[in-house]
Amino acid sequence: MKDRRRDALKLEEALIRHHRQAVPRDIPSFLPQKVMAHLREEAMRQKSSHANGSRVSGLVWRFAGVTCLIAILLGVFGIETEVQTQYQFAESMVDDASSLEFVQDLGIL
Amino acid sequence: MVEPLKDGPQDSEIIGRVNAGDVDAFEWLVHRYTPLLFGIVSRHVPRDRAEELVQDAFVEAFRSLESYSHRAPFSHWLSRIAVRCCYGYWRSHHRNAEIPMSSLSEESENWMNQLLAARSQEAFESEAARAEAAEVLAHALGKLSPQDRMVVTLVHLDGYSVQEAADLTGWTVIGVKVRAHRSRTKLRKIILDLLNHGRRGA
Repeated sequence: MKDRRRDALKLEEALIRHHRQAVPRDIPSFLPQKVMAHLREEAMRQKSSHANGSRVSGLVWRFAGVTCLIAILLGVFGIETEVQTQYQFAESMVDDASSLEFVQDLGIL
Repeated sequence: MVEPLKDGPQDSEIIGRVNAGDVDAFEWLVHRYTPLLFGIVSRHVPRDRAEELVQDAFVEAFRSLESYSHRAPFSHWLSRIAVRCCYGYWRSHHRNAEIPMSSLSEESENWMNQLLAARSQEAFESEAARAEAAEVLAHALGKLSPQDRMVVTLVHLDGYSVQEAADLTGWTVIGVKVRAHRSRTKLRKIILDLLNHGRRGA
């Protein structure tokens, strides 16, 4: 058992030594050019997605403004006409006995 | 062969120009740091994938260049990206592995026996330099999880300190310390199993 452990340590040491002394192969001379070609494509993609993004965000803000205006108008309309959605909902259900019980449980009627 | 560029503008100046939109300026950094990244990557992934991973590391660096804070040297920041690309490679490889690892070749098993029988330090070093060592090492590391593989390679094979390995991976120091101990134990067990298997076959 001790011999095997000693052998395992010896093998481990050899593997570590091999790893540290391994000479990396020569770097291909075309690698920097290949990387830069890829990066220029990447830069083009980033530019076009920024342009699209700014167009989309412009649209989103315009819609957001319109949506807020509609929400305000609806709110004012609701206050002015005294809409009571809960009551109106309940009214539409009064004809049905089980629904009447339901709305009474909810405390609306 | 690509030689690192020693002259030329400083890294900070180049980074400023790239962030201002001058993509071509990044070429200085590519030429300057390709040897560093190639050295890191070729020690962590199979040699035929090294070019691809170096490219991935530079692309990632380009994408996140605005986040470089200049607190640490650019080479450290870039090394961290390269290490994480290697880790990403092994995670993806581990997830997609469909074919189980084949057993060692007969040459590698014979090599292990010759190594253990080496009577002198010189013979031992000569055996350690042989190509079969690479196959045995790759086989042993292939049995570890990607996280264990990364930590054992950085700490025990490359010789980084726990703090340095934590900086490179972005993991906590205590996490790296615990994993380094556990993964080394696992590696030793794998090596022991290889030896026992080799002896049974002999």
